[in-house]
Amino acid sequence: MLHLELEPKPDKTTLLFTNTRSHAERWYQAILGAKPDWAKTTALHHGSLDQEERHRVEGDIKSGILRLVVSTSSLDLGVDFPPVQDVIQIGSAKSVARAIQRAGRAYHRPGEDTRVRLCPTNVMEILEASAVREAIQDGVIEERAPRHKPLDVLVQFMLNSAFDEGFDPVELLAQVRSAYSFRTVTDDEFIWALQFIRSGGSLAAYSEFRKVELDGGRYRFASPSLAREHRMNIGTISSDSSVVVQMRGGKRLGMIDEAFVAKLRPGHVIQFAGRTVEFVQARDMVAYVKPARQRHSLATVWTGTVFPLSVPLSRYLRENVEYLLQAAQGAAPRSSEVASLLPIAKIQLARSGIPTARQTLVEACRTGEGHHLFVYTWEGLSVNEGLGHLAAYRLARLSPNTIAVSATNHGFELLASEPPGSPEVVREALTAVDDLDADIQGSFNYPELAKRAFRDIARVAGLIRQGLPSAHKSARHLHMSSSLLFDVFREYEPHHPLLMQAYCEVRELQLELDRLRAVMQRIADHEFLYVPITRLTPFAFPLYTERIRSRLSTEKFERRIARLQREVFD
Amino acid sequence: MRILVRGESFELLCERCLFWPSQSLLVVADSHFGKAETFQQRGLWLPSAPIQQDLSVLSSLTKRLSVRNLLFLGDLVHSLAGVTEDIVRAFATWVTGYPGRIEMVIGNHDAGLAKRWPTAWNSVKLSECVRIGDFLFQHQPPGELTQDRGFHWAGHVHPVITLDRGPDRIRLPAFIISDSLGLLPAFSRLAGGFEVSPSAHDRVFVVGKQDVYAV
Repeated sequence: MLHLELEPKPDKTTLLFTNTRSHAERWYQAILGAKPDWAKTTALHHGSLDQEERHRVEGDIKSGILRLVVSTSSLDLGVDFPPVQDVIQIGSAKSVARAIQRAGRAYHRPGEDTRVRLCPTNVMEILEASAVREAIQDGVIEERAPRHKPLDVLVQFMLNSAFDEGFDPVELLAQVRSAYSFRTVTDDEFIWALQFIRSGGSLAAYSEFRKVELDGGRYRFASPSLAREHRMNIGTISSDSSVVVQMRGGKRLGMIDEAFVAKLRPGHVIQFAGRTVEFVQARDMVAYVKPARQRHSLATVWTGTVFPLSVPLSRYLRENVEYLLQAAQGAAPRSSEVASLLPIAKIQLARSGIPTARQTLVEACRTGEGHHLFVYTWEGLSVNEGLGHLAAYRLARLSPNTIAVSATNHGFELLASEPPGSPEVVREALTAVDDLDADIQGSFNYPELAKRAFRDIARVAGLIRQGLPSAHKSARHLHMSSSLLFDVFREYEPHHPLLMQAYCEVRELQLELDRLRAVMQRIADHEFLYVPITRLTPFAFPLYTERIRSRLSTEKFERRIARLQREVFD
Repeated sequence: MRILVRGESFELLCERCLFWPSQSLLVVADSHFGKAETFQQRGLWLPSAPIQQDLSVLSSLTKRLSVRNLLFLGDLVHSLAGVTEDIVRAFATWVTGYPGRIEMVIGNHDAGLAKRWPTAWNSVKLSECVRIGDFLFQHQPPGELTQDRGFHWAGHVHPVITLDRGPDRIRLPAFIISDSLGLLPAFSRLAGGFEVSPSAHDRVFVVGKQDVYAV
């Protein structure tokens, strides 16, 4: 259990940042559970709360009423809040930029230092804290790679320009090219987009299409109702299809994922907006709830992104792992974090090994569950997922095997029913870059990933409508799921540019194939440290728990983790 | 796939239709003709799957099975606005060329069309519900309180089932058969689907490319 000094001081506001909305809800509840008398001076803030509630909290921070605010990235940006003086980050921020941004919420005068306290949620996050500090000292920060001419955004921008008097295509093209991401848009691409909004696409397939029309050299909406409907769909931030959460006969609390609501049954109790409420029913895109008597509740889950470890932070983290090795071998610890991890580093070294920045560590062991391989890259979740599935696919192809993959930001575990092969075979599976594209396609359900990427693209380009709560019933016959649309396009227009964009985003943004390739090259250059282990090591512990987390109910999970913790760390 | 329902033999076809051999009856639910056109008129991108494609499927089916009676189980069209001249003409040509009887029960999407029924389609007989012996054919499944002891065949729901086999998740149209109700999948491939959770005694059949499979 964590012990955090949280005693708020008068005239001072503390911001407690978490990485997900779920965690924010749980921390808020847990804090008030321990300190019920803080209720009046403690608040919750995240992007799925009702706007009115968020504005109220922001106002209360400014006017200094609040002592403690539990929040997600929703308070990262925007205005500075003068009374905020203390910032606590739960878990690692996973990127240097985010850590700086969050620290920046604290009150400071120019030239004065700000402090952020990092509260790690697992052992490796202690080391991440040290890596973040070194990166900041070296002035290293993540680059923000601009997106490369996303066509969905181009289409929406054109439609946004088609209100009222509409646009002149030549003027608009010049304007489009003045944006960095679109500076290389070709005439062909621009003309495709013009045709797309004017005639839908090929004339044969879109004989009835009406959206914008060309009139006197300008493109404008073909009717006021088409313009009005587009206005309701402007924006590029898409959340999963959301449902309003409302108290029965009263206040709106915020938004919740449709997919989560679908799993709820009347009587289920959830934590939402800092309250414990009972689900009554869902009707017309509203989930009705009432105050709950019972205390035991489900944590509300939003499908959001897990922050992947950034590229520079990964590099600093691998160096810190080497510092850990040096300390475990007797050198003076380089930082207080390394010092605090010394006992654990010694266990790790005794049972297995700690890699230098020029080595790759793979641990192998056999349990009643099967054959485990733990591979450590410290390269972020998407690379670990990609490499894990790729290696599993290749190993199972060499000899029949069933292999489960679970990945975290630090590494991945392969759990195989049969022996996965010699160290050389494993190394080959992790490093061979020939046929990488084909093997990636084989190891992932590619169309399924593309389908998910297409959902956002379809929404931004206006292919499907956002849920309009008021116009719901009348518009029902115009409802189309992005997944069906994806299938229809794949059948009738397989080379549709927006489909191509979906595949491209899967490769570049989701699987981060360039980064994956670089990591494989690095492992190939590295010394390969393949260590058979007989007991689970401290490094393996988070990977192991990640896999069983998805299988067990919370209660069983916690009991099992407690037992494991004793086995690993005592 | 042949199944027995109340002693009668029915055939579940991978063309997403139901065939009743002893009556030489082919049942087609939720064809939603003109759906893409309806979307296009409202500025939404949905490529037209030519109605000819759907009609030629029906032609080959009716020939292969020597179908004497054809029944559209509602939602023949998606909306009145989507019924373009091309669609009126194409369906009229098909109806004229078909030698058997054509009947149709009116679905919720057909409401507008039923009031302005194209004269070229006049040989199609319209009704709210069709009863043959112990079997009732209507667009929407009856409510739970229905007193009728007959077996209901219905469309409207567009049932689909997701088969979850590890990483291979696949969503397929389905026939769902319970004690007193049989749900047909939508004939239209643009229709989309509603994920149903059948109860333990329901018989579930998913529609693949080549065949229908019991689950």
